[in-house]
Amino acid sequence: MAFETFKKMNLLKFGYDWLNQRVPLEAAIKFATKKEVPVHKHSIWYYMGGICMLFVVLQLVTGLLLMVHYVPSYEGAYQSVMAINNKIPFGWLIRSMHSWGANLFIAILVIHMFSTYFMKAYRSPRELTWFSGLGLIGLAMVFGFTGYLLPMDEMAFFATKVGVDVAGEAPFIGELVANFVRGGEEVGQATMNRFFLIHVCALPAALMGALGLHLLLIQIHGISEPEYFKKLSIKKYEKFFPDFIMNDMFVWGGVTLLFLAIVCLNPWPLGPTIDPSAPAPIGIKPEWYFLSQFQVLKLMPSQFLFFEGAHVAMAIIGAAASTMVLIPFLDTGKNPTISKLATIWGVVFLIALGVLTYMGLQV
Amino acid sequence: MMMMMATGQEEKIETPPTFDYSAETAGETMSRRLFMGGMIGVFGAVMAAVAAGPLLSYLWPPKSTAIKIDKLVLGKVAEFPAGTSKNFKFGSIPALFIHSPDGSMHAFNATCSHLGCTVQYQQAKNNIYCACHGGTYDPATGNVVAGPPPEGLHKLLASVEAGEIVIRPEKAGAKA
Ligand code: HEM
Ligand code: FES
Repeated sequence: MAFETFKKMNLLKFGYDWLNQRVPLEAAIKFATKKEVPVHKHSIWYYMGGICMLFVVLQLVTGLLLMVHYVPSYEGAYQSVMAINNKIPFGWLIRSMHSWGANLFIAILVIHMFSTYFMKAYRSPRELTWFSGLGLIGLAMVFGFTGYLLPMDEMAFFATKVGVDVAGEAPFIGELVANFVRGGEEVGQATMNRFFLIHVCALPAALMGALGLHLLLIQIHGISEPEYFKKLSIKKYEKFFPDFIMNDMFVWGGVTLLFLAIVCLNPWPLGPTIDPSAPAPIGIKPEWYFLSQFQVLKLMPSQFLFFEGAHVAMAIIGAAASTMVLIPFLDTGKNPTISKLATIWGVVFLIALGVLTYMGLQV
Repeated sequence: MMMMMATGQEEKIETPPTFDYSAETAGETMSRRLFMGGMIGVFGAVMAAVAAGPLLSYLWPPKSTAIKIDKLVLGKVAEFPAGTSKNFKFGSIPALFIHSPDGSMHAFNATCSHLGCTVQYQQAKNNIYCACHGGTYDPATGNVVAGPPPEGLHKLLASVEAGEIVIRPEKAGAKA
């Protein structure tokens, strides 16, 4: 480009044109301004996915920062986390943000999942959006499980031991899977290596893939509208760009402030170090999002009809989870009775989760 | 080709002449295209299978060397007055020694039969307790008293020899 022409343009326009000649920028902006978000009394739930995205970014950034000082070794991990908590300037803040963030992320994911469930957003053509979402919440839980071990304090060690042992109880391949995950017969350095690489490498890559698909599908389908809204004669919409995005930013700002307040007022604790020959500590518990499953295992008697209680418990958990996979095929929206049943099942599911988790919190 | 792209010159790509496969293969049971597709699929599957073996064996944990022992001296009797207990490792097995309030001594493989947590002795309640899901065992026999465990604890032998507590597998050489 001749320098004279360059001088005549302002820099912003130059940049815009330069990009636009290489990627379809204009088309993207046109798409964003044409996209509309329905405005109704349940619109607030449309912000939950955006909050999930905020937490993805927060977790990636704080996780990256933690890795600067964290040492993934059986012997040294506890010391390094202790140092992050006590010695390294603002280490406590980064660690608390990451640990709190992990928990709040899952909480928001559950809210996002059930709000899309009750809005029936899983119906055609959004089945794949729903499945990619299930994949994302699954990934988030594996993130949580693998991350929980990394500080190597007492609870971390025993919760991992118990969690993997539960997998070992699954019929036929359980023990193989458990050994594979542990990298041996006991939780040790091999387990740390595996958990660490899964947590910081494999899962983030998988998350990016699944999230990319999720967001792409949402662009393809546009946001869903509740049934009652579709029937309205006068429907209100707002533009995705700039209106909805603007609101999104306010939500992100507000959530970040709230988040920082929680983190600063309740820094994440570090338990005592481990003694591998010690018994499982009294009051041992997994993270709260595994408590409902944990409680089913606890409530089941040793024998149930002809089966071992633990196997029955696992079958119940598996069956309940698979209803979430099957729901787009069961409730397609054509049958009002099934639609009502799906809503009722969602409520039952949510209440059961809540009650079991509450029971699990009581020692 | 690469150089031409670098200089920005457009090159018209010639499209190969298309065949009318249906006409050419009329009367045959399998089209050439289907056959090629199938072959590529089979080839891919074979390659994946060939790669899976080495990959899995690379990821597979090495055989752990379980340490088996026939005898362990836990310590002097005086260190464990009646009503106390100790969790320890018997080789690679988590184990539990109990000196009951009534004076008898017992030792168990401390692996809970439910989901494998390590159990502990609760002095106040004189029972063996598993903190994971609340399994409770009898401290003398190891039998299940309450909770989800399907069977009792495996026993070890605890005896006093020359003022020291000695732990052995229940039957010499048997797996505890
Ligand atoms: C990393 C985690 C996730 C992120 C970042 C994310 C992000 C988003 C965003 C930004 C939207 C559009 C706005 C909205 O409706 O909230 C959305 C929509 C949606 N999400 Fe997610 N999501 C995640 C996980 C999930 C999970 C766990 C599920 C359910 C199993 C799910 C199911 C859906 C569905 C069905 C929609 C379409 C909603 C509609 O069209 O009304 N997502 N997600
Ligand atoms: S592992 Fe001991 S009660 Fe479940």
